[in-house]
Amino acid sequence: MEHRVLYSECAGTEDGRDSQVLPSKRRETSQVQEMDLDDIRCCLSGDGEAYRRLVERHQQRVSAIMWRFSRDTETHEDLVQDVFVEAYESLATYRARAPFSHWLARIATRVGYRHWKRERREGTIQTVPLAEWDAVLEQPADDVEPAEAAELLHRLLALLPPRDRLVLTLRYVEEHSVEKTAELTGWSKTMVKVQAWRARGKLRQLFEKATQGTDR
Amino acid sequence: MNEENRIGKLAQRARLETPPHVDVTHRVMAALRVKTRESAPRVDPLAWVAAAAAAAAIAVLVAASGFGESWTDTFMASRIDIPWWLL
Repeated sequence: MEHRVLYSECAGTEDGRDSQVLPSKRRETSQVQEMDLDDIRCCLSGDGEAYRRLVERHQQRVSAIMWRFSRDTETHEDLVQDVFVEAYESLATYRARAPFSHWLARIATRVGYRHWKRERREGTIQTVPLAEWDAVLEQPADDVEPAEAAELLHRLLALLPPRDRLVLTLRYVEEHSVEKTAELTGWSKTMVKVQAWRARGKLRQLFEKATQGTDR
Repeated sequence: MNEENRIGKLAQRARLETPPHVDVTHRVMAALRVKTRESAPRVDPLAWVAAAAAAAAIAVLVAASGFGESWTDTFMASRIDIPWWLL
């Protein structure tokens, strides 16, 4: 795989390699990976258009990831842009051991986490008061619109420090496995488990405090 | 924990959300162009002044060495009028 980046021709086209062998979904994924590798190689040899193709191919996936980090449309677009700029700057370090999209997802997670840390430092986080949560959660979850549910979760988890917020978002909102979370964050699997356990504890404490506050 | 179950259900709903459609291609390419331009080696305006000064210095050096040679030339030396007050 690694060597294909170095030796394949700089085509930038969508040809159908392995088309007879692989089932359609796998074939599609394989074709995207082949195109990515071609474009990365072209980009590294100075073809600016090749990176444009990579951005066009992956921007919706990156957009979906970054939407969990910011729900403000302007900030969200800035973050998506930051991911691609950062990816371009470290493109030479991509070793093709994993698909390009996985590599991009790791960068996106790093950019998003940095954004949360900055937000917390600057005090610009928008949270939802926990006292209002009971009212929100009394209605059946199925009645809540997906966008509203995502917004509520976003604001609820914003009450936690960025590290806890990240692990809970990846494990419970995105439903990633421990392995995948470890891959995205760059932490060990044990670290992910410990961090998730601590984060859940902190969330529980927040709810308990809120309940005590409303009981008085 | 009851809240956790509720959060789990909300998360299920949240996963159904369609993220906004973005097109950042032009923005990314523009940002990269700016970055590339910034990182390209630039000739500082002071470097031009330094180059001009160096060229002038070389010219003066060449002229001076020529003048020195003619000054030390015995034939030329004999032709130089030495003012009376120097003698």
